[in-house]
Amino acid sequence: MPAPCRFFQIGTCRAGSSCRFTHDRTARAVSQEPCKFFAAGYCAHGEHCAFRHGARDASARLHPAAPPSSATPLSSPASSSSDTPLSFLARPSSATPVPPASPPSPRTTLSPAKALSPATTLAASATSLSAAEAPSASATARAPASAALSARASSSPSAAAAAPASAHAPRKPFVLSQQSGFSAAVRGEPAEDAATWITPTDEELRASRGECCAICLEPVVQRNSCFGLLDGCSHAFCLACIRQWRETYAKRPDVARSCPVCRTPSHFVIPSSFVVSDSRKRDLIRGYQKRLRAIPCRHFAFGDGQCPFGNSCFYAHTDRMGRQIHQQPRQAYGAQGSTSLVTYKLSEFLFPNEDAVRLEAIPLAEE
Amino acid sequence: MVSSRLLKEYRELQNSKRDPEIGLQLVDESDIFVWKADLQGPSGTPYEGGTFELSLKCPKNYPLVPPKVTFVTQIFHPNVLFKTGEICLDILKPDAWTPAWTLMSVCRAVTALLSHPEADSPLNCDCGNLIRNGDMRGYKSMARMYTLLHAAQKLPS
Repeated sequence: MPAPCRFFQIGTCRAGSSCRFTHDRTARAVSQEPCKFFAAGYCAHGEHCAFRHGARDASARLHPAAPPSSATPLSSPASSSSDTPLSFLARPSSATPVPPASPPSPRTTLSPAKALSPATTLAASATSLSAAEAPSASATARAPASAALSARASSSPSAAAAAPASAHAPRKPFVLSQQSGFSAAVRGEPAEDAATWITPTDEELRASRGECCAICLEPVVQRNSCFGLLDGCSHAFCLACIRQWRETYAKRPDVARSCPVCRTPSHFVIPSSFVVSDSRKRDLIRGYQKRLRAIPCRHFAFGDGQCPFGNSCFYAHTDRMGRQIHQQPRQAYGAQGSTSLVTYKLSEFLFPNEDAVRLEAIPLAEE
Repeated sequence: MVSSRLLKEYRELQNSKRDPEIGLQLVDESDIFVWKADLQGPSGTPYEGGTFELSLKCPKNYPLVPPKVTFVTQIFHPNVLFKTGEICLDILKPDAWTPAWTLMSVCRAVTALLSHPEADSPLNCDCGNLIRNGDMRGYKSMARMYTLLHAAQKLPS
């Protein structure tokens, strides 16, 4: 039996019925191998992950004193069973282990490195959970979202230093993930859930439950799929449905990029696990774009390819060392008035016969 | 997605009160892709009193593409091809269709088309010319005649 398709699990498989992996929702967790993202604090696949998520309270935890380099989860027999699902363990970023911070320190730390330094793009914004929120009654309900937030919080040195040294309080430690957004993206972590950048309010969650997709007419939440929101209007669809509709762009350019309900043109679809009101949508879009900027653009391919979106592409245009590249694509005009994008590389002039002289020779910075 | 969407429409149809003016139903309970509708001619038009059968065939990738809708009953209308029953309606064209339309709303749109003939894009040129030349009386009597001939359940004495 083939492994479950992880794109289908999050509602984004483009292969459809020709997918090599199984689209059976009940097929689960074939691998006995533990999920390393889960062990590090947050797995974006959630319960649909193909790798094993150990029991949250015990087996998937790392001991605080665990060596920072260990990527596999170690079961710690000493873990207390009184911990809430929020308690994952810290994976310190620096060589010195950072003790987990204790909840009674209300603080929202923003790393000063706000500018998108390529290697750590996303990780730049380190947001720790406010203590007032964490122990509240709704904390369990929002646990995935909060965990997601904290999983993205990078432990920049300043944030780590700010964490009080009263660290060994075992209850609800913050998650300090080692992975920067960039490297997480390189490792194939999908950027699919809006709960990662804004936390849904109870009202939004309630509204989401009743929302039906205008394409398949099913309630999206009950269908267990993700919402696809449009930037132009407030209508909500299943992510898979609206993507399928917008993929028909080549056949009907006039309507495919507009909302099926109100025909307002939209430029992109924002995946989200809940619907948001207009004012919060701006935050959602900003968070989404920020998340995408951490993912290398497939068209750009670290400078080897060319991206039709040029500098307005949502994805990261960096070289293999993680440096931002601003490249104005040149347009070539054909005799028939057609335009196409071309890029010229110095190497093509220096070594006109050697296609192989490319950046592939340079090892990846991340690995 | 296709059959689940059609099943959903079918279920919704079963649950809601049957609309006597539209009468949308499956032709064969074993085939979800082929539907028919019995439209009542709207009152105040020459089609009043007639029952027009409509055939709706859904392609496999419905609702991303529109269903193929034709009149089975012959009808004299500027936007319906007299021989085949083909309908000229913008929302049934791929470049105006959106998946937010349902089979029910398509039937309503066709009913609306009956009461508002659009003579500027005629499929039935004879009918279109009558209206464009202002001969509403001619159009109405022709349409009335064909309605009585083909669509009326029983001819009025």
